[in-house]
Amino acid sequence: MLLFDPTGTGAAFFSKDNPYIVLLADPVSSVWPRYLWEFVLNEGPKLGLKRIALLYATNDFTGTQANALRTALKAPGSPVEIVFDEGVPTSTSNYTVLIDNIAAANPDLVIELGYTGNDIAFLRNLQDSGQKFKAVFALYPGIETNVLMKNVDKSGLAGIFTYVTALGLDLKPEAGLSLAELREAYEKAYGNTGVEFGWNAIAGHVTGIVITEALAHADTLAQEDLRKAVFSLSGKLKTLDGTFELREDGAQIGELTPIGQFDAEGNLRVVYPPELANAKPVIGQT
Amino acid sequence: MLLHALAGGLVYGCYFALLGLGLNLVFGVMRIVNLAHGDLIMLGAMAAYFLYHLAGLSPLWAAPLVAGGFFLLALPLYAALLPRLLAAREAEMLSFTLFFGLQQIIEALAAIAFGPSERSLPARSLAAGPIVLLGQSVPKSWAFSALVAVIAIGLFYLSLHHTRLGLFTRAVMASPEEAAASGIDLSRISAIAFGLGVALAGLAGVFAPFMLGSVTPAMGASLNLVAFATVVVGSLGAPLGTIFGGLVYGVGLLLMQTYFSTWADLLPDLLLIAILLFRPSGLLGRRLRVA
Repeated sequence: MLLFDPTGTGAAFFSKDNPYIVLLADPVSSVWPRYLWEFVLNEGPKLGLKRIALLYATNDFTGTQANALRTALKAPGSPVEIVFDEGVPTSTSNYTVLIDNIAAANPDLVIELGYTGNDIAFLRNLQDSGQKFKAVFALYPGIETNVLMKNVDKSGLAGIFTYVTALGLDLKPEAGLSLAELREAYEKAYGNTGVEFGWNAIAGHVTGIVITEALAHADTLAQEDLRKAVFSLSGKLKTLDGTFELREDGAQIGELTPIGQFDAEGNLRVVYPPELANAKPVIGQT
Repeated sequence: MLLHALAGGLVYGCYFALLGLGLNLVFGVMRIVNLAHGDLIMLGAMAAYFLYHLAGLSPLWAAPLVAGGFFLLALPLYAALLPRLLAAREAEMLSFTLFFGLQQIIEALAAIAFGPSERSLPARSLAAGPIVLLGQSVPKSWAFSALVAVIAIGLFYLSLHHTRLGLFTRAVMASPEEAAASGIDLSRISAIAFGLGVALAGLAGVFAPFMLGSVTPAMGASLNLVAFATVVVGSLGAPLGTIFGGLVYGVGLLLMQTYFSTWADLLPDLLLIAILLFRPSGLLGRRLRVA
């Protein structure tokens, strides 16, 4: 038996002695924020972002990302300092007091890592609180952009940094539908269900593509053969999410998401890494 | 930070008092636990969402409409479900099963009808930006929601203590048997109390998008826990104790977020355990029940 894990990215799911799981459609949480910590370490000091506040929801997805970020940002010789570091329950729907407490620590950059509901509440409370920070990063605006845009509005997203997923990259896949084709098919099938087209819809599609390709390459449906078939795609299969790449323990380390920033019109531009950037980061009062 | 948590907690707590008030009224009059209360709040939020997006109706206008509509809808629901339940020997225990089933049905139908995505109302539909209260900056939308909650609670208090219907309701809450012996129509009072409980849930729902960030069909169960905590902290069966329970919960939550943010989720459970261990009648239980 082999577990095809579409988007369960918690680092604890993967270990060398567990050959029963492979992560298919997004990177494991411990490497997902790689571009984020690189951006903070390489560009932060130049942009005046030296004091970092880290606020995260305490679940496997965002908790692991927070741990990875903390480790990178606290490494010896780091040019930045973490001045606020708090976890909150994933059910948190009120961030007003937390925003006030963050402001008391006087950070330059606030990194908030939560699920959709967390990010909506955080960004709405930030708008209503009257507090301003030089820069704010939130996780889900780039993942479920439609949902965030509807709930927070482009005025609430203006200047916010986030991950840029396949939604904003329009990569050319070697297998499966293009972004436009998938969006059209999704709207046709699920347009009236109240579920917005977002990155999770793309992840579902990519999962299907990887499983299809794996089955095409597998000698049998036995666990070892299926795992071998999935691993045979590693580093080769170009999906809508980017290059599919597995680590030895089954964790996905490809399909990394660049860092982007929303402009005042609600457009998301890539600002890091430099080779993918199509805009310069704007630091101001968010 | 402490002052901000206290000021914000008081404002936030007013809303939580409204959240639990209807649940406690229904329990006080009929001795049944409406486990669908949180889902009725969710439906109130959805109603406000669609009234705003489809009819352009401000939440302040939607509030009386939703409360009135929910009251009217609750009456046939009462007629269909409650008389047989109340006639049962173990009505209180059976109410858990009945309303748990109703809660599951509402949640499933809402998920089918509305989808699982988060929905909210823009802050500008009520009031955008911050306002200074008690020397601290809090969102205007919180202040408006708290104000509506205070007005609703005030009206509820006046109706309970200064009208004939309120007198009958208090009589039923004190002793249904004696109230019936005095000629009070228990069924009528129960139906009205159930309707008011549902109306208060709907009213609380209208302001949920502002106080809770966003709403989804799955939010009902967690709201139930919070509402139940505010009710038990105040005094189960004494609706006005819920005001105190709401304030304790609101201030407690924001203090937890300030000093023990990772554990803030535990607050309702901690409050319930502490109250059940040390003062099972609720913090205001004895005084309110004697009155």
